[in-house]
Amino acid sequence: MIRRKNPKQPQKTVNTLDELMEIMKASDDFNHHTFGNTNNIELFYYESLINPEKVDVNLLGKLKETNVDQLNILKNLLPFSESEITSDLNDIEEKLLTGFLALKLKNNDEQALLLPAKFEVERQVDQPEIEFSVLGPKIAFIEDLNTNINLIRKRLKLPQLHTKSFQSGKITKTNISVVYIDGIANQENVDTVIQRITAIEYDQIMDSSFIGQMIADNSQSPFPQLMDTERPDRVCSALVEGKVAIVVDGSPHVLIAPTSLVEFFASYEDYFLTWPIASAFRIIRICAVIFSVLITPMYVAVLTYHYHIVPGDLLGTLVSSRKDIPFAPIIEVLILELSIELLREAGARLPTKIGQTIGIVGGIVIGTAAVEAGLTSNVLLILVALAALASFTTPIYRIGNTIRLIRFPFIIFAQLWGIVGIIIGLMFLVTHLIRLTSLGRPFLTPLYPPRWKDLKDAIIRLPFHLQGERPTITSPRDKNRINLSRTSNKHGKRK
Amino acid sequence: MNLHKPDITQIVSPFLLFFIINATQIGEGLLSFEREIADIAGYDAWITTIISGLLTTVVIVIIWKIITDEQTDWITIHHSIFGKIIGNCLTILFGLYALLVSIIVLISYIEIIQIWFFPDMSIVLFLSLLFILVLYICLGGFRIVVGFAFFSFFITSFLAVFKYKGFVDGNFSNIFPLFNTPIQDIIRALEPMSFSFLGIELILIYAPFIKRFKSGLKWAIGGNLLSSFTYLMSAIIIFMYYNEQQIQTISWPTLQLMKVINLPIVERFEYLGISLHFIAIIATSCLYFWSSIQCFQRITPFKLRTIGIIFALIGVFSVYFINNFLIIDLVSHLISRIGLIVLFAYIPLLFIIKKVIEGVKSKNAKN
Repeated sequence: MIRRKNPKQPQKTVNTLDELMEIMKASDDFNHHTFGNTNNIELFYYESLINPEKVDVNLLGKLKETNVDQLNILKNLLPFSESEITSDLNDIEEKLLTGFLALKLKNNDEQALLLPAKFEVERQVDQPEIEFSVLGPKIAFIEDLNTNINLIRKRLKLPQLHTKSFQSGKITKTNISVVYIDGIANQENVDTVIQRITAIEYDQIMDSSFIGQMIADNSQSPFPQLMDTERPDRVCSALVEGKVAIVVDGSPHVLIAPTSLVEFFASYEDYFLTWPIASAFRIIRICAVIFSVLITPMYVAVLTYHYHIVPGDLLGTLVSSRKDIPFAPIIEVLILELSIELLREAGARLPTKIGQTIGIVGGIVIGTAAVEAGLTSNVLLILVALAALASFTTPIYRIGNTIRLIRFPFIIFAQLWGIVGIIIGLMFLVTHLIRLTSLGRPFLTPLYPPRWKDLKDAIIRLPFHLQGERPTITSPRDKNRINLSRTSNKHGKRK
Repeated sequence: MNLHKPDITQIVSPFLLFFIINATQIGEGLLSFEREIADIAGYDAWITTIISGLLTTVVIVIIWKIITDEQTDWITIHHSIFGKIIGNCLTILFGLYALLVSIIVLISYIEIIQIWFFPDMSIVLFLSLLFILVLYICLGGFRIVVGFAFFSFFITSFLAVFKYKGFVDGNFSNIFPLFNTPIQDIIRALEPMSFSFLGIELILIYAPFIKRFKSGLKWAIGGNLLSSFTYLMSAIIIFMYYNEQQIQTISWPTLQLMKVINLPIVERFEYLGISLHFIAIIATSCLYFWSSIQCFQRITPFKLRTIGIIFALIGVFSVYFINNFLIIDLVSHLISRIGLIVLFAYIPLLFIIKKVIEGVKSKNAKN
């Protein structure tokens, strides 16, 4: 949050309707027409914000022929459902800026009739692209707040699903909704989220990730402390577990808090598969992440200091692949790691079709050429490519970035003190993770502080009938998912 | 009385005592205690591990008798028994002892790393980094220190599994005949052994940080018994694998044993073993370091942070004084001696004095 010592108001205060209109007329897309037999009706609107079909013959024709001198009569005359008459300048300003028409009589300088004529430029609800899953629902959030809440409400038809709306951003005045299920979510979490959102002082909120960074417990950490997802099913599932969701207008990602590290490695698809398969995949994913972080530092450590560790046969392979390389292992690793990052960065910035070409050119051509030219070893190329691949297995994009970043300190530690250095790096990482919190709740649960019951859905996912209780990380007010007494009775009878 | 009420976010569950006790006890001692006890008590030295396990359990029970109130710690007890000045002096002495242990544990492990990995490593730089790590852990508060100890427990358990090699390759008849050593030698071996059991005296410092402290007794005893069991198994396995003369020539029998292990992609397992065991060392050192700064924070107006940084600097510069094998050995023996006195003389004495004073007070109250 950036706090300025002397906040300056961007606009000067306006006192009358005419002054407001004068300010708005400065934009060329602000239209102003005069109608009526005596030319006493004025129509104002932003051309770019309204739906042109609404301002058609129907409206204009009627306006031309009327001869009214009161807004009430005009309101009844015009076929708009949500029209209103107001003298509140802030309201008029806000409505005009969100696609309303304003009608004003020349003799009445205070009141205006507001007619809705919003022009919706929203893309259609589409498939999830980042968190794609083969099975399960294929719908993702879009940039519109109401559509997103609609997608949530469609799945949770509950009067207890509460949304609290806020505006944030001094200039953008972005709408933010905090969504939670009353009676399940812990009120403390809801209050913390609301308190932190209202405390935000910044001029622009363009995306939910702005909020995510501003309300995070530790903004210095490379780890994301709020989960962002584009899947409505994931959000609803989190709400049912007692978490709090933050929907931001203009952002196709919804934030979920509080969250823990293991959740970042849980794909939502895990719940669509049977539990042994889901658990196996989750373990593979976690191993992939550990591999991805540690393999190149291990390469540096082993080849720089501890070649005794490697069995003789493997050492032969390593030596023969490295015998022509002119660089020390650390230089070799850094060059290759950085070029992989370069490829990824280039691929992410380019349009999809060119991106594929870059992948082929970069990955295959440069890789093969680098090995043939004797700049890097085959083994390292395989390891770096595997590590990059493994870092992409994380279901949440944000944690993938973290994983790619944190291997660099490990590489440096490995160069300094070999395996001992890697272990020291690991200890720093573990300490950092123990110290992290998400909405004041430990980030490393259920591993530490140990919550044995929550381990049922952490590293492995047990079947649904064993998931009788909601995770304790949120301290939900209603702990039981299913009627536990009834289930245990049923099992008792079967005996 | 100067009661201590820690911040609610720093309080940990009683069952974590199991991991805390285990992590404080298992450290550098595990790698070399077999040599030291075998030096005195020969192959019957494994009996010493059982005796010290039982004795330390008694000490734990005494500690639970001393701490009657949830918010009492050593500092409050010192105040109430010896008055402010003498009490504070005793607390300072204990704080310095804890600091010395935390430093010597790190330095003696660095010695192993020097011998095994980097003979010409710059100790000052390495030690500075380690103290940054120790500060990062300790200044996070007790919950973080315990968290680290918790994870270190799993690492030591993982490493303990690899002692199977000695069991498979060793010769069971090595430890026979039983009771071949005079009983006083077995008792004398308690002194080097107690170095490996040090750590339970810290309970007196962190007691207020344990939720429902009274209910933690079973976990503390459990932790202590697990360490004794680890030491017992370790001693038996090492005695099975090496013969009595050979063991005296090996500084760290466990590391030598790890050398024999051959895994498909790891030829020399002791490199991994030494590195991973480092986590247990840091956990031990952190618990002592935290206790030390906690002692001083309670009796001085300084903040935890200030004391921590000063002590870390002391730790880094101490390397100029504790700089060779002989001094390290000397200090280790000194600590071993102090620890023996604290555990088996001072804590029971404290208990008796406390009981006597309470008795006198209640008598006075009756009169």
